[in-house]
Amino acid sequence: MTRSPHTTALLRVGAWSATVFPLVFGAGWLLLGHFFPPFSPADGPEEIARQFLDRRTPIMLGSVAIMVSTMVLAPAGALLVLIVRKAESGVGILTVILGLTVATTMVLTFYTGFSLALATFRAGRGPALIQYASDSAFLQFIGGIPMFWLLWIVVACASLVTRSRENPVIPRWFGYVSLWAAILYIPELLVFFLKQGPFAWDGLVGFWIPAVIFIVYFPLATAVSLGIIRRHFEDTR
Amino acid sequence: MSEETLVRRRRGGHVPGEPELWMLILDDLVVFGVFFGVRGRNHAAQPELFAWGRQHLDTTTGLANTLILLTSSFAVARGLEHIRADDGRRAARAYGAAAVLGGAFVVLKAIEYSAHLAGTPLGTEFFVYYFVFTGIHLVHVLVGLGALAVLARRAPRPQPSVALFEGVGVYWHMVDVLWIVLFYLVYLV
Repeated sequence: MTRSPHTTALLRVGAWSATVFPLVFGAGWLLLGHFFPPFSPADGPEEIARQFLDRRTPIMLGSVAIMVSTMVLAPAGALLVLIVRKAESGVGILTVILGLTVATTMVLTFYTGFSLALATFRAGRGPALIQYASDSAFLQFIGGIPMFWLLWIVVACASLVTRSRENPVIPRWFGYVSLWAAILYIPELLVFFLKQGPFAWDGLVGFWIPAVIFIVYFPLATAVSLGIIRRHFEDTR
Repeated sequence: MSEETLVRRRRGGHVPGEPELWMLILDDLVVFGVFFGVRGRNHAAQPELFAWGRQHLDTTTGLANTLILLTSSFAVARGLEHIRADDGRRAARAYGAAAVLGGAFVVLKAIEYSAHLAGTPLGTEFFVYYFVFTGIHLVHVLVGLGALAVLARRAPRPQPSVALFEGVGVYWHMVDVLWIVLFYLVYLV
């Protein structure tokens, strides 16, 4: 199929937005919100309310940045859908699962920011309500695995199962990386049960391992998808 | 396999499975290494708690599971020999046996879990680690069971992909090795 240079440029926008997303999200979460590393889930309502009120304006701005980052996910998600469609040689079940999962990932991202906004919106709220909104943000973002987990599984399947070893659309090593990321995120579900130790949302397994994967995976996805665009979407025969 | 083939493979730098798979294997080992480190640190900090927790575990079941997985690994190794020797039917039997043994591991683990859920104080740190580590390992076993079932189906077909059989074998041996370390750390130390 012949593609215009215009279309290819848009595909590249999709590839780069996978790197822009963690930057915009990170601007909200890290630079403005100072939630890296996050406070302990074991902290009392007064302590949490103090954090939110001390940094009220930056957290408000950060929550908007996080909500805005949802839009940056759209081009990246769209490109991923096109790539998987190519790997599946047409719209198959993997493509549809991926489309649905990209949508829920966007919802999850938006509501993480939205919950932070809720925690800061009225300065006169009682500490228990601030804690409630803050819990909503942290549990969603760190525990919201079911909303995005299938992204990796679909990429792994599309890479390892659908195509032959010769000329695969998604490099096989990236399929294994995705599978590995998926396995490592499973213990995140424990943040709903534990408030202390390595599995809590500020712990080694609860926060640091997923955070490193999050930071590494998105720019890696940009590099891999630029290669895929070059190899599989630019044929002008 | 003949000695000659082995020597040829080694000289040719043969990597079992496909090289990319080894990334997953090594990454997984690193992560479990981190888990073991975390557990070791906490064990050193509160030896009485861990000594108490160990009394609630059934070492016999743990040992039975260790032997089951070792035997299953042996069956997988035999299966690969048969695949390389182009004997698909025997290979299918070996992989079938490996999968049945893997299934027995899951059944024993389920019995153990249900006993703990019924009768032990689960909120303690010891049991959090116990469930998390053996649970993540159990997920690996379930993934491996699926892969073994695929191999048992594919083995009798003509010209099977040896790399696939090697790859699943490597993965299954890793699951086995991880269990041996877990058994030692959780049940014995």
